[in-house]
Amino acid sequence: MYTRQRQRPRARAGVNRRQGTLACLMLLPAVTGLSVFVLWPLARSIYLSFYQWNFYTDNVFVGWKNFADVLGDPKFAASVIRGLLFTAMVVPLQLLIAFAFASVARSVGPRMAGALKMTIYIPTVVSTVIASLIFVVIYQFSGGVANWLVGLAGAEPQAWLGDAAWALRAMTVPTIWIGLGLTSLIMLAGMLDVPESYYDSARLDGAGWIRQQIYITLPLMKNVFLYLLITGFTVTIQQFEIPLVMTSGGPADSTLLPNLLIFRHFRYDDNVGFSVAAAILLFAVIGSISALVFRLLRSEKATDA
Amino acid sequence: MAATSWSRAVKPRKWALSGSKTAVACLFIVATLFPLVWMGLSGFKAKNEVTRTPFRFLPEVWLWENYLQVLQDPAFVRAMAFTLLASTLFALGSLVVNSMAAYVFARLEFPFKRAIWAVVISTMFIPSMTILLTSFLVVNELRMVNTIWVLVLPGMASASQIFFIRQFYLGIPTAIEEAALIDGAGPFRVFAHVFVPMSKGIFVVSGMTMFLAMWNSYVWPVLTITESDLTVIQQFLALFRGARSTEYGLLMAGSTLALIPVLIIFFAFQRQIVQGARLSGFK
Amino acid sequence: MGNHLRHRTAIGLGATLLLGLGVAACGTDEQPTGKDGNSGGSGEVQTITFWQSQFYGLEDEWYASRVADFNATHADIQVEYEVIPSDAWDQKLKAAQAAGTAPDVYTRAYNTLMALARSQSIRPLDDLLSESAWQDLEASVEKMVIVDGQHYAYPVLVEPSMVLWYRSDLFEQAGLDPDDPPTDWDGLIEVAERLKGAATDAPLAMPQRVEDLAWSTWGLQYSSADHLPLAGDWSAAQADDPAYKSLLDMYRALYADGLIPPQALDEYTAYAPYGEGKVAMMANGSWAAAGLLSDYPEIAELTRVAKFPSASGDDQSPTASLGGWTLVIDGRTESADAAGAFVEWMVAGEADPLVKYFADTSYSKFPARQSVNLAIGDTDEAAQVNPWRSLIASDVVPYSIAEPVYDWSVSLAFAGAIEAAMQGQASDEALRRAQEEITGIVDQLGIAGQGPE
Repeated sequence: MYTRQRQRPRARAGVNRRQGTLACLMLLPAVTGLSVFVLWPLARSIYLSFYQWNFYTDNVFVGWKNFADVLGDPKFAASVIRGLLFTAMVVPLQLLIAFAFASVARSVGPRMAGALKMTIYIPTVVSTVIASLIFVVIYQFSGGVANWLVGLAGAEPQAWLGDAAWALRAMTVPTIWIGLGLTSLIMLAGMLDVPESYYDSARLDGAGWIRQQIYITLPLMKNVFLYLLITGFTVTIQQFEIPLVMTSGGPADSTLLPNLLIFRHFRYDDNVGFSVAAAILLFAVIGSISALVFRLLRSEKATDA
Repeated sequence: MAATSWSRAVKPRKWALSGSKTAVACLFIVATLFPLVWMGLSGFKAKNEVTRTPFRFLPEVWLWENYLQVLQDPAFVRAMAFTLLASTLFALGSLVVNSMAAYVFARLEFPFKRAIWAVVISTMFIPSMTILLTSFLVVNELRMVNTIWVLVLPGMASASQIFFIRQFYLGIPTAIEEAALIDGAGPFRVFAHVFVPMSKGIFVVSGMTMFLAMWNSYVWPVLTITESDLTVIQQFLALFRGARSTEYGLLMAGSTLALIPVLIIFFAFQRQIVQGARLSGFK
Repeated sequence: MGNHLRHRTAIGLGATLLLGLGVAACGTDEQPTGKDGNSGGSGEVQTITFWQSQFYGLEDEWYASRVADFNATHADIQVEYEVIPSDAWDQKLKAAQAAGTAPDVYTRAYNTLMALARSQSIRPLDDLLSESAWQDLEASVEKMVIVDGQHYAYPVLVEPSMVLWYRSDLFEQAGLDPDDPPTDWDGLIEVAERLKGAATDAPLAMPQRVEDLAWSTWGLQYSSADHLPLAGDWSAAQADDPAYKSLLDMYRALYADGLIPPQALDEYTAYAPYGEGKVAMMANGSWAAAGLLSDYPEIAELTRVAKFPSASGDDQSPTASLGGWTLVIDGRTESADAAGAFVEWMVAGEADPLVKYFADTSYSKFPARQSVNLAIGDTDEAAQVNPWRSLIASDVVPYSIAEPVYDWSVSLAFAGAIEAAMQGQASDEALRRAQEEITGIVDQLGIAGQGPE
């Protein structure tokens, strides 16, 4: 754009205005969609969070009571921390596996690479509910594949979903499995974009594989990582269908992730105030952590329009 | 041909290295596909054989009944067709809407751009649970409940997809469009004639993501669709999970059958996904 | 080439959109009109909506054919009928209520009636159903649908939430007498110890997941402490009663000794694990009879039933709650008369269709109405079909408690204490936490003093 402006400085104002109109037109569908189906419902949720509402009797304004109730509920704070812990277990591992996958796919022959790319995407096709059911059966105590494998390795069988120490960890597997396809493909896309000549010259300088990754691949893929980190974080901390199907939040709340707690309140409470207020507080948590990640990994392109 | 030139460069140690890499690749494939293969096989098992102790990988007797029963159910076929339609509309619509927005944010200048971008990006972090109920109230007021639009329209504009496509557009060198601009083409023509043709790969990835999001959605259709003619596939499958017994055989058979159209679409676009990966300007 | 591609894409897109519009248009036409039903004009057809929570096999078929019969015999009222998967039920109804599009008539369990009635989500039925319909109800069941002096639901059935099902063959193999099942919790643990190894997974199946524990252990909670964890008038939590320790200790012992599976085999209500021979005994409701008879006839042959053991061994101490289903009418319905007529015809009128309902479910459930009870009692069929029925009717039903009507979160809180005990927490500590949580719930909801007693 700016080349053109430099060439014809007098036309600048006109071009800008024309560009502004066009920009508005092209943005209109997205902005309308987000306004009607995201921002407007959000505004109404915020409004509702100050009321006691059971749908059949009049709304009663209760001020900050719903928020106070949520913050005063130790289960909510615990579930948010648990959600962050779950994210910390899932996202780095997912990125690591995706990175390994992309590295392998990049370096094997084209046939094998094609097969890999196709396979990795396939689990994405399965719905979360079905995947959870598959893993419930895999994690069965006797007769489950997981304990069969553990037995082959000579270890004791585990109550993967019945033991509070294991349940959340057991859930990382289906979570990673479902999300791996897209993460890997995007990772591979970024990796294939790094010019081969960079590696060639690094090899001439005697840099090994690990050094090549640290000094060439990682810096050049910063934006890919940022994108995958942010989307991985927001998706994973919101996960609730997997614990809902596999354990309904137990045993002893060990898999009660924040969205599952909110969903439970939404389903069973007589008033929706608590669940709406809790959901807004969760938004605040996710929003501020994401903003922090953006800032830490400060990427010019990502933060500046 | 990054892969081939690489392997040419490492001729020494070639066998051991390429052998171990192939082994790792095979491990990836087996680990990833195992649950799915197992699901498909479970569709051939008798009602409670799936959860029987001890674990058996293959069915004791190969039963076709589950697959046949699902296939012969007109509700299954209808749910598949309807979900296919809704998912296709959703994916195509989202590509149009989000790619235009992505282009605008990547290339055009207009007032309040940064503020609008900040608002758009912030919607990415709104948990679906925060607006589940109020979104339902909105679509109900718009009289969209029990129509296809309640599935297609609400999630179509997506901040994460705008962000995703915009990252790609930012990586396209400005030199590419300068020629068109000097020829007097307006920004929209630049978008339509320069950017869109270059976006095949990224569109396939973004489109597939959105398609699958719709195909696999359950919580939202459960709220908004009551009409049995407009039941989506995940609602249909949920009926095999009764309160008192899960029909594992039927559920697994149904889930396997539900994969097939998606896999066909996936394989049809497979080359684009592979090529698209290479075109990506995700720098 | 690029141009060609674009044209093709554009045509394809256009065609798909048109197709979509078509489908959507069909959808709009068929939108339920229950809420706009003109109740005034005579001769006009009123449409009402009826949502049924998904039950099991023949039960669902019974509802479907009943609705079809109703529509065939009523020219002036037509019912739009939907079966909602059980895991979708709560959120779907909630959203519909919020939007003012709740169904006119729907199925509902006893324990939520009071909250629904007090929030005016459902309406009283006294003026809609005939006097004789109310008089026909068994007194004990009628009490469960009355809130603040008015009838808010019409009950269909009751079923005890927990009895002990066990395999006589495995008892004999272990040197146990099938005619002498355990009566108290120590006895249960002892028998379970003896049955170790008799089945593939564990001797006994019990409710283990929090959402199952919350409701299925109401009877056991009552058995251990003679009251529930929240006082009858909801004024104070009483979960810290040391008497509850016996229940938590039993669960801890069962879990720690591997007498129940290390993780739940299935939902509590599922009978498949028992039918598949994974356990030798199971705690399950009376409804399990229907599934065992139809899916596992050979196992059913060998199966005996007993009242679930109580804390003290007293055979009159309740160990089950009476649950079941009712029909309710939405508080904002504009077709109250039509909805009332439908409810009366469905479940409060002739006895014969209901007799068929109980026959279809292998007489595993118990009627809420005297006339239906009489009609079933007149035949020997019930006892022939369901060999366990008479024992459950005489030993369990009379000593079962009504479901508590307090907020579900209270039940979840106490279930959490049982879970914590299984995970090894000391009973004192687990009960103290439940007490704290329930006290917090009472404060937060402001329900102190609003309970029924």
